[in-house]
Amino acid sequence: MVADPVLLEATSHGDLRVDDRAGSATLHNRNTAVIVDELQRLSAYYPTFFVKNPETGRFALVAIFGFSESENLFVESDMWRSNCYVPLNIRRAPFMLGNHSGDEGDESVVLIDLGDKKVQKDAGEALFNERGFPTPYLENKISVLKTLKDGMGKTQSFIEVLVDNDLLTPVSFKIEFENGSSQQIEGLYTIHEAGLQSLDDDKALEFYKNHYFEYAYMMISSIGQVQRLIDDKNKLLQTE
Amino acid sequence: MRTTLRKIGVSETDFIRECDVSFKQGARFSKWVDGSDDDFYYHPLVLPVGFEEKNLAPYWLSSPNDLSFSNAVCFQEALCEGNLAPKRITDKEFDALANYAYHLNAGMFCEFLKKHCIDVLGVEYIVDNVVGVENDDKGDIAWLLGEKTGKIYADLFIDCTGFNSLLIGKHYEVPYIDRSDVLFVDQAIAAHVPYQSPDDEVIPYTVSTGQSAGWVWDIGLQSRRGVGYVYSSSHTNADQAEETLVNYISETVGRKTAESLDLRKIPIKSGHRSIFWKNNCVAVGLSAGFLEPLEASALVLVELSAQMISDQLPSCREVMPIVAKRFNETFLYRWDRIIDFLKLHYILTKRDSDSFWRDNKNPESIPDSLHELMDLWRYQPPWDHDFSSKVEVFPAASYQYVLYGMGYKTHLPVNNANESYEYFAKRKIEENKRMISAATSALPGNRELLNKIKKYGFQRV
Repeated sequence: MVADPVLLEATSHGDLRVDDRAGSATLHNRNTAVIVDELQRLSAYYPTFFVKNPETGRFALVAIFGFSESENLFVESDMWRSNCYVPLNIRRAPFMLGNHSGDEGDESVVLIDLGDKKVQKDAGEALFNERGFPTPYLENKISVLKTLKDGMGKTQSFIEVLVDNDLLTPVSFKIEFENGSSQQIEGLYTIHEAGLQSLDDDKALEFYKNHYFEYAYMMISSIGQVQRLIDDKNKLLQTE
Repeated sequence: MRTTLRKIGVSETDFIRECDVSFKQGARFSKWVDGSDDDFYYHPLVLPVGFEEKNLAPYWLSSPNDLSFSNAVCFQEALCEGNLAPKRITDKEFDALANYAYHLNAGMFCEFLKKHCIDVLGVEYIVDNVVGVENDDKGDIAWLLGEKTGKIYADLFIDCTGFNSLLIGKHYEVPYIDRSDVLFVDQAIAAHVPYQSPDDEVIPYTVSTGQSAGWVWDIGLQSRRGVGYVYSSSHTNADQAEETLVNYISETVGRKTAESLDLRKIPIKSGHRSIFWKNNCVAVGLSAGFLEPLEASALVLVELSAQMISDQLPSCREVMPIVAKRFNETFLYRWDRIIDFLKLHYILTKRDSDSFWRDNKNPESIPDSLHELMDLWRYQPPWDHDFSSKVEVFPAASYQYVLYGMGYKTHLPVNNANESYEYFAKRKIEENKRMISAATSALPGNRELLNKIKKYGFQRV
């Protein structure tokens, strides 16, 4: 399905429904962008790393769900596993924020991706009531978008501080699965722990006050979840 | 160049943004063999595939092949022909997918280096005119007299005074060895050529096009091209040379623009000092010597000189003569090898209707050392044993690219069959084909990458 984001309006989308149980293309990616506010919940399930945006070379914070490009080991029959935290960037679908340039400068507007399988006519949650106001379901989705937007800003500042202080370092994995196949994983970056420990006093205070130490150590400890991914993949390979 | 910049702690992103830099992946020599329109060959910067292990030239020579030597053994010509960059925006600073050098604006680069040296490396920078040089009783330079600063004392003086050659030339009167008997070009005229549109390709290699009495360089920067004609004044005159250059430039930007450009004249006196380090003074750069800009050897020599001076900086005056002797031997060897390599480009030509090219083939103009190599290469391709120094300016690979690019035939012994070598060579040439298709699909356009560097920059990791 081709993505087709349009401005969400009560007048033209009053009869649309969204079924969160229907599969979405966003589920079938090996990683997704996440925000620092989510790190605590994420690190209980997923490894988190930085990857480079292929278009800009800039770093993004992501949670990892699988090994090959469209593999998501946390999705079974188009549904996210019920006992795991679902990242906000997955939960927001089929909605996203866009920029609208108006008389008073840029403002954020809500877009809906009409190409997403979740968007339906009959099944699912209504978006607007009879009087054209957003339903509690839509209000909730909009609050997810707002949390994401604010969190992306914070996440970007965290990344910039790490880059400026040379605290990022590449990691690579050579993984051997039980069926004898192996895979080399490149292009992941994490925090340079020794560098973190040798920050001068002023920097350390700045890191402490901005929760950067928390974020950093949550990311470092989340690397252990790679083993969980390997275990899940081994189970999957056994059944194939 | 990449190594040097990284070593002195420069950011590649800053360097590319502040010095109008583009990537250079080698040189394309057009019209050097017979002057026809489809006459060209490449000297890429990537070594032939498998070069660390075995020499592929014998295999290429003995197998019927529709691929040029450079295309058969190296994937970089395909990148050049596609105007592709040697790396991606996701590759960190100074990392390469394909080995590369730079095209840069020299004036901007000087300012950039000056700022880095003062702000980051803690160099004390004195702007002054040197109006006097005084020796001590051993003949060492004791001090320089600055017009405003007064006496400037030092243990070691590095002469970077350019063509002026103030210390090694004027003060010490170290003789200049003229090499124009080997390399004939003695004049250059140069122009800055504007792009027709901001989206014009930035060519990721130096184009060097043979002309009746020399050759034209064409170098792509981000904001403009630098184009110039180096020629021999004994084989053409200034007016003809100017016409040749304007004709060349007209082909891409039209005659009207070409005729409106300012032309700058630069005299070239091919040669070098008989020694470079005398007493407590060592010459680096143009004060040491100069050759035509073919194969861009000048900056390499500056880098190698700085490297050797810093590696072997004498810890006291007593051992300085030993270091100086080594330095002189090393660099005389390097100048000789560079002169041989430059001359090689001229002696395999078939452009016999031009006296410039005909005279270049005159055996008397060819150094004995090159004669010797050419005798050897009639029967065996260039290889590591031919070059004895640990840090050759040009490796055997470069000689292979030029020799076989120009259509030279090395006669191999007939009983050369060797199954394991042939297996190795076949495998490597297949590997090169795979690298061509992988690299051409992975790499962005050169202009596209330069625009991204301006906008986003490279990461340091």
